[in-house]
Amino acid sequence: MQKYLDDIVRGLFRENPTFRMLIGMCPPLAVTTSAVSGLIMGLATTAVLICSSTLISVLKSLIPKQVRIPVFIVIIATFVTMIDLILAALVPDVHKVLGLFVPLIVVNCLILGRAEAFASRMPVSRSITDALGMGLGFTWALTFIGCIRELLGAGTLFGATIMGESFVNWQIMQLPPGAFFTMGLIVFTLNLIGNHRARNVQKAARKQIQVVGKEG
Amino acid sequence: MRDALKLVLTLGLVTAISGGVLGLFYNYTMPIVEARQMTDMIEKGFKGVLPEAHTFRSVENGQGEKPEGVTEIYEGLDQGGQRIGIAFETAAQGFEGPIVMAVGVDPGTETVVGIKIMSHTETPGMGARIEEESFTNQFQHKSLADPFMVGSDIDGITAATISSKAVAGTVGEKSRQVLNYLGYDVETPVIQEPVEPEPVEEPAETEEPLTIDMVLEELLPQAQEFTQLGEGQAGMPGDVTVIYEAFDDQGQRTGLAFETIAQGYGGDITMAVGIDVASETLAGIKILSHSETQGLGSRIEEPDFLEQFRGKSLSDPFAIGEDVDGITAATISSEAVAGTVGTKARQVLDYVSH
Repeated sequence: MQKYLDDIVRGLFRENPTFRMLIGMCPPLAVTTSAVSGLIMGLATTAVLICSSTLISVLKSLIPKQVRIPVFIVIIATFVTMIDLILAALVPDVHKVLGLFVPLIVVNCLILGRAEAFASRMPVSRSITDALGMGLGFTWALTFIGCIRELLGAGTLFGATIMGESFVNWQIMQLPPGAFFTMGLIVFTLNLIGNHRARNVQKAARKQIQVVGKEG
Repeated sequence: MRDALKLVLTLGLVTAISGGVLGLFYNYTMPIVEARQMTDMIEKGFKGVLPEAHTFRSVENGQGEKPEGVTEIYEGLDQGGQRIGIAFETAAQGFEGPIVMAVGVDPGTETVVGIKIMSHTETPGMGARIEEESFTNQFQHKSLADPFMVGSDIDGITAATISSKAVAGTVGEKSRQVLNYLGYDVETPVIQEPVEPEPVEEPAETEEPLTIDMVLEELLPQAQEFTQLGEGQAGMPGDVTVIYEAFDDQGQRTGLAFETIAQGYGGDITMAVGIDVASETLAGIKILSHSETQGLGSRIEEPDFLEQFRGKSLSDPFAIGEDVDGITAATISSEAVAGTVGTKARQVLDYVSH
């Protein structure tokens, strides 16, 4: 049970695809102009990730090694097209906003990366939890970037006005450079915290050695 | 070999399954998408162009072929189920791409009730202004007997003539076609070219082309009396149609005026030439008519060019680049005028003197 929980938590934080592994960077930069589109893009990617990881894990012993990548891509593309059709049928407004980026999930290297690195080697159950963790990690990262850019760029959050009347929109945050600024600052902050924590752990370990030494 | 076959089969199988699944999915979702687009059209389009209708019902059958470019025809019904109007969807070919619009017509009065632009890809700020109510409101309660022409009964959008014309023309044409298709008899009006403010005066001028007798006094201002030497008389120099003699108050012949034709770039250039007999110089020339290119050859009419000939000796070569300045980018027209004036003036002087 612990393993499964680990899989999920790992994707959310320690190996967060967007902030820690920096893979699948196109959507975090391109569709995060608002929190809602970030959230929906993340959920769509998660859905594709879970479906394709599961199927690939099920089929892993049947797929010959030499053609595994084309087979993975066909499976991923099939699920992406299905999601695209579902979005078009059920939530047309969202579909309009995401536009071209939904079909582009096919080439999101996060999905192919998890298929190749995890799902094709691990049991089905763990592939699902891994996909869930990675997908949710991707989703919160996109939503978070979307929140910052929407708040500073348009003065709203999930469509609701937050900033007062006097707030002048930082237009650049809605434009592509805004995505790079936000992304860079978040990664910087997370690395700072990560390094700090690592140093604390080292210190604690050293102290323990000293204590042990004295006692011994 | 067996391995290769296995790879081919695996990939083939996977893609086949994928294709099949997507096909099923597509068949399942497309009706939903299309139905939603249709409700959108009715809610946002047809209700706007036929505001009095209570419900809309699709019309499938009509007489003959369904008009080309008309995608949907609906009838608007009032609460009692009576048809009060027709709403249809059609597309006009705009400047950038199709302009999809909803049009409502009243078959009783044969008028357009209203139009609404549903989607388009025209240039923002220019063609895109066809969406504005100031433009679309012109079509409200407009009779189908009108020509639907930008410039005559529709005010177009400045700098977006193509988009405006596309919308106006399509609304008129398709409304008539749809009503005829549904069994109403709507006549297509005889469409007259729009009379624009500027050319109003010009047709009057072309009706009565300039002739040499109108410009005689301009060519030879000193003369008191003119006598025609006779039209088409034998022995007259070729291409010279009329010759006038000009006399002063003592009855002395002081000048000659004649009409001749030069072969220009776009066709004949008819001109009137005045000669001062005593000094054997040109008194002046005047272009009567021509069909040269606007803005290029047509500049032979400008005083800058014509004034060069005033007082010019007939013994000059009359060659462009030597003694006459031609018009840039209109060498043929300039050379035709200069050469013809020189040659014919000498021939006419010879002819009259003998």
